[in-house]
Amino acid sequence: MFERKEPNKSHKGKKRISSHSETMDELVKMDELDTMDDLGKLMNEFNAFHELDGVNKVHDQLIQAKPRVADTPIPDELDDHIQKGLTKGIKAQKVWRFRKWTTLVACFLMVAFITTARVSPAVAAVLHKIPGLGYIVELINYDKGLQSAVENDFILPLGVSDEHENIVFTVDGIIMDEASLVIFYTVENKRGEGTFDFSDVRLLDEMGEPLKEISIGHSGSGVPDKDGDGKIQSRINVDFYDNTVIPNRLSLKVKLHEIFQDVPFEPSSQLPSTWEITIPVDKDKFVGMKTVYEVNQSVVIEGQRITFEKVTVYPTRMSLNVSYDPANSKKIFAFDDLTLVNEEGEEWGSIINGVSGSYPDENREILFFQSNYFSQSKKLFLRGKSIRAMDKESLRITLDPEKERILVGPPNLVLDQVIKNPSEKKKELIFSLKTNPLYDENRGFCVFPFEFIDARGNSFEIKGQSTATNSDKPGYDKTLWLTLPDNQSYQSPITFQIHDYPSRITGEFDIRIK
Amino acid sequence: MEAQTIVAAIKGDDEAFYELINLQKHQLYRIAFRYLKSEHDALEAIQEMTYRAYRSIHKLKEPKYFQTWLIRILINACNDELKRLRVQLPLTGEVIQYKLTALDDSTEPGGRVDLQRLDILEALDRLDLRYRQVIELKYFEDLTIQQIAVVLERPEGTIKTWLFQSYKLLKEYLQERGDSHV
Repeated sequence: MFERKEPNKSHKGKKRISSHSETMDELVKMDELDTMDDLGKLMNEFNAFHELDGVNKVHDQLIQAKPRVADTPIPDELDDHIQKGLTKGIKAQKVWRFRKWTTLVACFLMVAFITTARVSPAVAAVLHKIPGLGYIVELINYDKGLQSAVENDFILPLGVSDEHENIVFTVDGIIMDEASLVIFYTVENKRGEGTFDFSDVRLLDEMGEPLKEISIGHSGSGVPDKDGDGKIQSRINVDFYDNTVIPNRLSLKVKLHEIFQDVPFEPSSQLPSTWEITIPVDKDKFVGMKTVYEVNQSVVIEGQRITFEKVTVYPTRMSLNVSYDPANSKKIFAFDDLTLVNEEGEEWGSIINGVSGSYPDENREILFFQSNYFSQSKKLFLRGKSIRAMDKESLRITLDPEKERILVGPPNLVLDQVIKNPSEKKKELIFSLKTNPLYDENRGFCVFPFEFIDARGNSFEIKGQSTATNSDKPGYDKTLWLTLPDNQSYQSPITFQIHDYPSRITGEFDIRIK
Repeated sequence: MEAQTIVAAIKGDDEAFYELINLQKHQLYRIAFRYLKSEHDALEAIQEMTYRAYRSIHKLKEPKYFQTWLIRILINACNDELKRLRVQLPLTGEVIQYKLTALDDSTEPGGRVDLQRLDILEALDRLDLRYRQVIELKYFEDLTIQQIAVVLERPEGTIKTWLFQSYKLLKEYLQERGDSHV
C-alpha cells in the first residue's frame, strides 16, 4: 500500500557508475531515463554531473551509516508516552465511536458530552468497600441518579461468573428497578492478550424466553484494557418500558468476538461459546419505587406546540412523557438544554451514558433524565430554551452513492467522499456538517436514521454511523461517517428522513412539576 | 491488511489507531531522536505527535498516505519542540551548530571508532536542519523524494534542490576533515 524506496536499487545503480571510463559507456548503452542512476539524474538537473563522483562517495557513506542509525536504542518509556498522547487525545475528543452496531438503538447512544464528571466521595466509599466493584465509580461518573442509588445501598453485588475458552465473564453487580437494569461486568482473558467485544447480548426470563419490550445497550467497541491485566470492565444497560414484564429470574446470555489488531472484523472471529449468568430478581426491593407527577402542560415555541404529560421518577432514572402536536409545521428532534431543577437550583440533566429516551410513535417521546429519586426535593421545575427542529417538508436527504452526490438535502451538509470496502461488503460515506458553535461544540449528531428507502420504494438498513467533533473542511466543524451495505440489493438514489439536525427554535419555558 | 486498520482508525477506532502507531513506533522514535538529539525531547515529541495525529486522523483522505502523514506530524511536533526549547531553527543556506551532543558516535559497540562513519554523521550534524532532514529521511528511513516533499510540505523541486545542496555540503565537510577517502 505504501511505496518504499528500495535501498538496493540505488546501490545497484551506484555499482554501475564506479569509474569514469565505465560511466559514459554504460550511459550510452542503457535507455537513459529509465536506468540512469537517480543521483546521476539529479546532478544532471543541476548541471553538476562532473561532481557525481564525489557525491557518490557521500552516498556510499550514508548507505553504510544506516545500520548504525537503525540501531538507535529505543527507551522503555516509549510506549508510555504514546499511550499518554492517545489518552490526552481521547479526552480532548470525547466522542464515543462504535465499530459495530449491535443493538437497534445503538446510534442513539451518542449523546452530547458534558465537560465535568463528578466523583462523589460517598459513592467511591461504598463501592471500594465491596471487593471487585471499585471500577464502577468511574462508570457512573456522569450519572447523578445512579450515584445516589449507590449511596443509598441500591446496588446489589453479585460476583457470578461463567468461563469458557479461558475467558471469564463475570457480573460483578447490578442496579435494578422497574425502569432499568444496569449490569456491571468484567471480561477477563486468562490468556492475557486479546481484546473482546460482545457480538450478542440477550436477556431471557425463567422460561428461557427473551424479554420483550426492552432495549439493551453497551459500548460497542469495548472499554480498552487500561492496565493491561487482561480485564475489560464496563456496563450493560437494559431499559424496560411500560409493557415490560419483569420475571423473577433473569438469564443473561452473551457471545463474544475477538478483536484482532490487524484483521478486519469477520463473523468467523466470533467465539463459539455462550456465556450465561443467572441474575436473581428481588422484586420486593424495588417494586413500587416510583413516583408519578401528572403535568399536562403545553408550551408553544415558534408556533410549535409541545405538551409535557407526566414525569415518572424511578431510582435509576426519571422519565418525561412528551407529545408534539401533529399539526406542528416542524418536526422536533430534541431538546438542547432540557433540565429538571429543584428549589435549590440543583439540576438533573439527560442521561449521558445510555439510551436517552424512546419513541413510542412519531408524535410522542419519552425522555430519560438522571434520577433525583433519593433527593428530598420539595419543588421540581422543568426548564429549557433551545430545541432542535426542522420543517417537516425539508426532512428529506436523497443521496446517490454511485455518483457520490447529495441530490436533495438540508443546508450545511456536504458529501465529501465515498470509500468502498468490497471485502467487508460496505461503503463509507463521509460528510462535513456545519453546526452552531454555541451549542454543538462537543455534540455528535445522528443525522441519518437506521432506515432508508431506495429508488424502488424498498426499505433497507444502514450498517452504522458516527460523528467527529471536528472537520478539515473550512467553514465546517463536524465530520459524519455513514456506513451503507454494498451488496447491490438497493437501487440509487436512496432517501433518508433526517433524524437529527443542528437547526433550532428557541423560547424559554419553566414548568412546575412538583 | 494494514489498509483496513487505517480505514478503521480514520473512522475513529481507537484500538486501530493505537495499533498503527505501535507498528511504526521505532521508526518514529528514531526520526525524532535524530532530529532532537535527546531521548527526553524525542519522547515528548512522540507524545505530542500521537495526540495531534489522533485529533486529526479523520482528516486523512487517502489511507495510503498514512505513514507519510504521520511522519509529517512528527516533524512538525519536533519543530515545535525545538522552538519550545529555544533552539533557533536554521534559515536556509546557513549552517548553524546546535545541540551538538555526542550522539551515537561515542557508543560504538566494539569500542573502536571508525573514522569514516564518524565523519559522515558528524558532517550531517553540521548541515542545516532542513537539509539534514531530507538526507536522513531518504537514507535512513527510505522515503522517496515525493514522500519527503509531503512530509516537509514543500514542492518536490525544493526537496531536490535541498538534496543537491546537501550532497555538495557534505562532500565539503568530509574533505575539510582531511578525509582522504573523498
